[in-house]
This record gives sequence, C-alpha cells and structure tokens, in this order.
Amino acid sequence: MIADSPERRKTNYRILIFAILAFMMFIVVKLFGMQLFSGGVYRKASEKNSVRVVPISAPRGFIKDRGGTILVKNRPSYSMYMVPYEVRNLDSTSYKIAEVLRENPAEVKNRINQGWKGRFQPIRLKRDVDFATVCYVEEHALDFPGIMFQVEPTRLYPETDFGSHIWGYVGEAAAEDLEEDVDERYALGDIVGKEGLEKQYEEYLQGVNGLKYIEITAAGKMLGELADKERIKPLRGSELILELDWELQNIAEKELLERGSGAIVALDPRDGAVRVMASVPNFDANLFSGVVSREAWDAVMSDSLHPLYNRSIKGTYPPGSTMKLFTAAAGLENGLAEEETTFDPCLGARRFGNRSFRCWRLGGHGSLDLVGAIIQSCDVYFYQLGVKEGLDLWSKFCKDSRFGMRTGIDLPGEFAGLVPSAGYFDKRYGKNGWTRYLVVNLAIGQGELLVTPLQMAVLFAALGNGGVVYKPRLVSRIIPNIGNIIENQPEIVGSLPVSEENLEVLKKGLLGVTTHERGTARVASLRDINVGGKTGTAQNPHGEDHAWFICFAPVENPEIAVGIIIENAGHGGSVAAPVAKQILLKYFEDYRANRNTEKKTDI
Amino acid sequence: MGKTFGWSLFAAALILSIIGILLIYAATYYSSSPETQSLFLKQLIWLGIGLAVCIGVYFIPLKIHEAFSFVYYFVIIVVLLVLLATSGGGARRWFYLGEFNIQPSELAKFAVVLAISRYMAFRKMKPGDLLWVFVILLLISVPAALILFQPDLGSSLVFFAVFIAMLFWSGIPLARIILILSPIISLICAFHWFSWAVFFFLLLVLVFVSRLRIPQGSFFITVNLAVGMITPIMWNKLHDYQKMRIMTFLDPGQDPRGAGYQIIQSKIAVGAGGLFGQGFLQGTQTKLNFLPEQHTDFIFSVLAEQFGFVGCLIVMLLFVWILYRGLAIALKARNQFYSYAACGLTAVLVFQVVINIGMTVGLMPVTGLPLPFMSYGGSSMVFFWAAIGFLLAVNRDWQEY
Repeated sequence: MIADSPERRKTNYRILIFAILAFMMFIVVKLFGMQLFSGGVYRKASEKNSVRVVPISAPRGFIKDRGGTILVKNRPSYSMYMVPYEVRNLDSTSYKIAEVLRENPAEVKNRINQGWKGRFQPIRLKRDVDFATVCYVEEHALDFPGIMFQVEPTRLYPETDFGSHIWGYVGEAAAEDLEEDVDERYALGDIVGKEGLEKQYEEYLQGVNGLKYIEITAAGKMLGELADKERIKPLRGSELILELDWELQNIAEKELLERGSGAIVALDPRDGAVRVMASVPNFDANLFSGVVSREAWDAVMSDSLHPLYNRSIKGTYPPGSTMKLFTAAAGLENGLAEEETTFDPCLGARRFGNRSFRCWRLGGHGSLDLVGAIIQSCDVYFYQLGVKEGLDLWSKFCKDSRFGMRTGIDLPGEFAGLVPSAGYFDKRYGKNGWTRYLVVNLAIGQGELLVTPLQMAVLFAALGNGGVVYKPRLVSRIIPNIGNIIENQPEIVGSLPVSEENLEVLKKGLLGVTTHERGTARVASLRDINVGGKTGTAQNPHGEDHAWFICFAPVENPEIAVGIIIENAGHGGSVAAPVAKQILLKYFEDYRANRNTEKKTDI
Repeated sequence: MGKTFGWSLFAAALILSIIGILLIYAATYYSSSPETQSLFLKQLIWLGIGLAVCIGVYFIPLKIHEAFSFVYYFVIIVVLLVLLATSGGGARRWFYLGEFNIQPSELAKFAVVLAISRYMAFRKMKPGDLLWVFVILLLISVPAALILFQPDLGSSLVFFAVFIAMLFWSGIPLARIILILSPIISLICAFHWFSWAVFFFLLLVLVFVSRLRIPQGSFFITVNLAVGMITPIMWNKLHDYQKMRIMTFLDPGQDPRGAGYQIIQSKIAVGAGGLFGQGFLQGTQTKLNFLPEQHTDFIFSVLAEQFGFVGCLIVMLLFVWILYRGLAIALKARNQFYSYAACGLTAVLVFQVVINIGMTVGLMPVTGLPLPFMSYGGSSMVFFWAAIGFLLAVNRDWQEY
C-alpha cells in the first residue's frame, strides 16, 4: 500500500474539504428549497399545527310581536368540546364524560365518532351543559384531558309555553337535515329550526357563523385567541316582526287552558295579518333548545293530547253549524233560496229517505226564513236547503270557497282539510253504496267535511270583508342585520263566489246570532260594537262534541275575525263564544285607547 | 497566547456556543417548568467548564497527551463497563453527579481518537498489512460496542465514521477502504438477492483490480460470501416483532407517532422560518412546543424557525470554518500522531454536524446525535471544547516549529 507521503496527504485533504463542502451544499440547497420555495407551505402547516379554527355560532334572530315585545331570544350557555389529540384513552374518557353528563357512554362515543374532523379539531359533545357540571369538570381538569367549554348562544323562549306552536322549536341538525341542505350551510350538530316559524324562516333566522383563531400547544392546550388574526364576528340572524298581538295571544291561551284543549285563531280581515294563534295543550319550546331531561321529553311525547301538535293549522274537525253560512251562501248564489225563503217548518226532526234527522232543538223552530235559520241555527232548515242543492252543487261551492285547500300561512305542515264529493263517496262506499241524503249532514257541517280552525277564521274574515280571501301572515317584517328590511306584503289568494248583496244577507244573520233575542251567541255581543258570529257543535265520534264559535267585528267593516274551537266542550254558544268576547273586548279596548290618544294629539 | 493561538478557530467555536445558549433560552422560554427554563444558565456553566477544559488541553504539552493516550483509553473503557454494569439491564447513558450529568460516550470520543492515532502513528502500516487494520478496528469496536449496548446507536456510529476518515487519512486508497468495509455492505445488500448479486460482482472486480495477493483476495471473497449466505437465514429466523424492533432501531423515522412525528414537526419549523426567520422568541413551532427535544437534538430547527435561511447559513459557515481549520491543522501537523488526532477529532465534528442538521431538515434518519457546541448537553460541550483545545495546541506546535 502507498505510504503517507505529503502529496498524498494534500490530495486527501482536498478530497475531504471537498466532501465536507459537498455535504454542506447539499444541506444548504435543501434548506433553500424548504425555506424560500416551500416556505409558505410549511408556514401554513405550522399554522394548521398551532391554530385551531373554531366556529363561533351565530345567534339566531329575535322574534317580536307587533308591539315590539321580545318573544324569542337567545341566552349564553356552555357547550362541552373535546380535543381528541389530548385524549389518551377514548374508552375511559367517554365513560367519564358520560358519567358527569349522566348519559350512555356508547352515545358519547358515537357523538365523538360522528364529529371527528381530525385529531386537533374540537368536537362538540354537548350543548347547554349546566353550570354545576361545568364547574365540576373544570375543577377536575386533570381527570378530563382535552375537555373544554365554549360559550354559545342557546335559543330562549321567555314566554315558555305560550306561543310555542307559532315559533316551533330548534334542534341539532340531524343526518336527514343535512341531506336536504344542498348549499352545505350546516354541519352536523348545528342548530336548525325544526318546527313553526323557526323552520319556516330558517334561512333568515339562522345568521352566519363567525370564526375565531385559537392558539393551541402541542399538548392540545388552548392558549386563547391569536393576537394578530382577528376573529370573524358572527352575524346575528334577521329579526322577525310578527303581526301577532301578544296581549290577545295571552288572553286566548289562558282562556283555552281554563277550558281544556282547542285552538284560537284571530286575523285582521283587511289584510290577513294573524293576531292570535293559540293551540292548547301547548309545550315549552325551551325543552328542545337545550338540555332535554328524559322525563320531560317522555311527558311531552306520551301525552295523549299531543301538545306538539298545532291545532290551529293541523287540527281538522267537522265545522258544525258554522258551515250553515256556506250552505246558505250556496243556496243564495244558485237561486235556490232567498233571504225570505222558507221551507217546511221545523218540528224538531225531518225525515229524508227512510231516516229521520233531528234538529238540535227538540221542540223545533217552527217556520223560519234564511236569516232566522242562521240566527237560531235551525238544522231542519239547512237539511232541506242542502237536499235542494244536492251534493254536487254543494261540494263544488265549498271547493270554490277554498275549503279543502291550504290557506298558505307562513308555517310548515298546514293541513288542507277535506271536502267530500261524489267521487270521494264512490271511492269510500262503492258506486252505489251511499244515498244522496249524505248531503243532509254535510249541509249542517257534520260528517266527512273537515276544516282547520285557521281555514274557518280566514273564510269568515272573507265573509266580513266583502269576499276577499287573504293569505294569512304571521310575519309582517324581516329585519336583517345588514341590508334592507323585507316587508311581508298582504296577498289576496282568491275570493268567495258570493255577491255583495248575498254577503249582506249572511251578515244580517251573523249579527242576529249575537243580537237577536233567540240568537245562539248572545253572550258574545258587545255594548257598542256589532259582532257577527256563528256557533257550532262538531259531532265527535270519539267523545264529547267540539264547541265552535267564529266571529268578526265590527260587522259593518270588520277589523278582527276570531275562530275558536274548544275540544270536547259541548255547545259552541255557551263555551266558545265567551272566549271570543274576552278577545274582542281586549281588542276594542286597545282600539279605543289608541283612538283616544290619536284624538289627544290632534287637539 | 499570541500569534500562535488560532484565534479564528477559537472565536468561531465560541460564537457557535453563544448562539447555542441563546437558542436554548428561546427553546425553553415558553416551557411551563422553571427548571427547563433555566437550562440555558446550566449550559452557560457548561460553556465555562468547556472553556476551562479547552485551555487545560491547550496548555498540557502534546507529548503528554501522546504518552497518556492509551491510559485515557483504558480509563474510559472501564468507565463504560461500569456504566453498563450498573445500568441493571435498562437504558443508561449518564452518570449523575448532583445537578450535572456526565455522558461517558462523549468523553470516549476524545480518548478513542487519541488512542487510534497513537497506534497508527506508532506502528506504521506496511502494504497489505491486514493486522494493522484489524487492531484499529478492535480499538474502535470495544468502546463502540459498549456504547451501542447503552443503547446509543448514534454515538457508536460516530466511531465508525472516525475509523473510515482516519483510514482514509492514513493514505489507504478508497478502493481498499471499500474492500475493508465490504462485509458491512454485504450485510446490507444481503436483504435482497439481486442487490447482493450486483454487490458481489463488483467485489470480484474490485479484488481483481486491486491486485490483491491470493490469500487476501480469497479472504475477502470468503467473508463476503459467508455474510451474504448467513444474513437472510438469520433474518428469516427472527420473529416479526424482533424484525420490527431492529427496523425501528435502525430507522426511527419510520414510526410516524414517534420519530416520524419529530421529523415532520422539525421540517415544518425549518420551512416556516423563511428567509429571515420569524424572529427571536417567535415562531409557533418552538413556542407551542411542537418541536420535540427542541433544546437538544433539534436546536437547529429552533435556529431555522427564528432566524431563517440567513441564520442557518451563518451558523453553517461557522461550522465550515471550524472544519476547514481542523483539517488544515491536521495537514500541517508536525508529526503523525498530531495529524491523525486532529483529523479524527475533526471527523467527529463533521459527522455530527452533517448528521444532526441533515436530520433536522429530513435528509438523515433520527439518530439522537447532538449538534456540536449548540445542543444542550454538558458532556458534548466539554468534548468539543477539548477537541478545540487539542487542535489549537497542534496549531501552536506547528507555528512554533
């Protein structure tokens, strides 16, 4: 081998220096590439490492009545989040969390799996955790690694049970909500409107979630918001101003609660604005926005009276004698009856075919004209009128008057009701399985004909206002956080097929109901305002009859129409009409008070 | 100290040490433990000790180092044996002396380099002297094996880097060095029959071209054949978990939750630094403790994140200057011992700088070797300052001569 000569050394020295420089250059090139070319990528990666983007839930818009009373708002609450990164043992952690939340560990684990967006992204485990639990977990923070709390708005219904059917309730978006959500506005667990106005006006109420940038250590510990990256503030959802009159609503709900179950709808016949919409039994919408205790949930769900059910728009009942107005109108319009027309006198019952049909008044009404028959609600009179009209004509008139058709109110899930026709009976009983005398019962509002309280209120409003059918509206204005106010304009959807003169005839009858000495609803009359109304008793095969009373006032130029049904309460005149009076009294008291102040300012 | 003192070498090392202390301060600034936060003060004390050792080594006559080199060697072997014997089967790399820990493997580097140099200088190699190579290999293998069992793969690899560098420095042609290393290459290639076949063919060519004598040639061929045959058989006899253990031992970067995670975080820190860095005490990777071992093995990532490409370049230039001076001193050294020792000590520096920075930027596997002068660690600091002291002494010796 070659000796270590100085020349050889020198060469080796050069080779080594060259090797070192080559190594170093290699590293420098790598550094150059990483720091100057891909610097942005790595910086983003480091940001992603250390900065969590945490959504800030936008508060939903408030809901106010026409006078500005806040009916629906928000309250701050604690949501429990988990940062998976810090959780060593998912099983034991979810067990411990389930224990403090008093839930099933499998359920908690399921929520973690569903919410998983990466090991650094916080998962919301529960909304609206009660303060005692928050304190307990914070005090025992070491036992709950990766658990943190965020303050988030929770829907608050300060009026608890009252009005709950109007706004409905909110809940966490479930898988099926996300399927409908084409624009991908929601993530699993976001709050969405599930019923009522909350659902109908979801896109307005919802608001836009904000973002905040939270700095986090490698251990998953939150250090607070990033100083140099400002949070994007959430945008509160639009405010809904309702046509509702909260004082009237209060009276309506209280009166209903005293009398059992039922519904009340009050509208302005001049534009379709809904002043009252009550349905009893009601429920506390707060149940759904936060912690739902199992007992409370079970109580609501197992209640045989179905408190979640909005009877105003979903309850379908036979209209009872309130239908006589429309049987009368059909007769008037088709030249089969006039104001003075009389039929065979009422003797308490009348035979059609081989069956006898009774009048509600066993003693009979004697001979009455059309107006008198309305005032006294004589069944026998309308039996005869109905038979004279026949099923086809009667049924067509009802359909033309928009029975069996949704009113188009701004609430989800409205029912249309049902107008039976020959085709319907053919299908139900077979081609020759029914007699033409079915119309006898239909003419006085019993049998297969089904209506909702809202429909009756809308149609009576039309009787009062000259035949114009307005689409009922709960919302009058939508006030967005930014941008222009949206006015919910009155909308005419149709008109009653009844002439002005004939409407006047009907009104005469309606006024008589409250003013005539034999009127069925004299209790509903007011001292100096003419009330026109009609009582009804809907036969109920499942129990006591339902009591109807539908009215409007003042008769000459109606400002308010009220439809009332009280379930299983018997006769409309004695049970439902006094409730109407309470509402009308309150309404006109305010009306006069307003007039007085106007006068004062004039002087 | 005057003209004969290598000021530039000393200054470069001192600047690197001070930068190191600043970076340790930055790396531990946001730590929650006050003990960790004060590590830079400890390192300052270690720098003081290192400077003292440097001056000490510098002023002890080189003759004495030469004479005592084997004494150093045997002392350190005994120390390593004691460490291994007292480890009780677990991992142990340090002796605990109150507040400070001593890592004998660092001190062993100095002793081993001096001992080999002494041997290489004392018994000049004659052509075809395989025994010479084997004695050196033995001198290296004993401490390397003791350190490997600590276990500290990185540090034991340092010795083999030194071995190769010093063989090269002795004037053995590269081809011959490859021949000497061929059994190890054979071992690695044996994991695939094709790569081994290619290797074996090249080995035959190399043996033929080197014009080895028949016994020597056949020796290399036999050894390589044996290694190539036995390795696959041995490997297949291992259980899967044993294979895994060996694989992660050789390349910890493969484990994404362990060292792989470290590499990713380190690369992010380096890349995020950009041209000028995010500024002293800034940078989220360090601040939020995403970098593992950031004050020890990954101190360079802290530098890269806070001072950027420019900072890295300055530090690397300082290292290059030290390495250049080290080799220049080795070249000019007045006798063979000084020359070998200077080269060996410089080789340790080169190896650790390249491996550490290479690891930081993701070019090299994670080995746990500290960055000279900069990583937190007293023993390493003391060793490298001792090396500087020795290089300065050789420099003075040459200047005075």
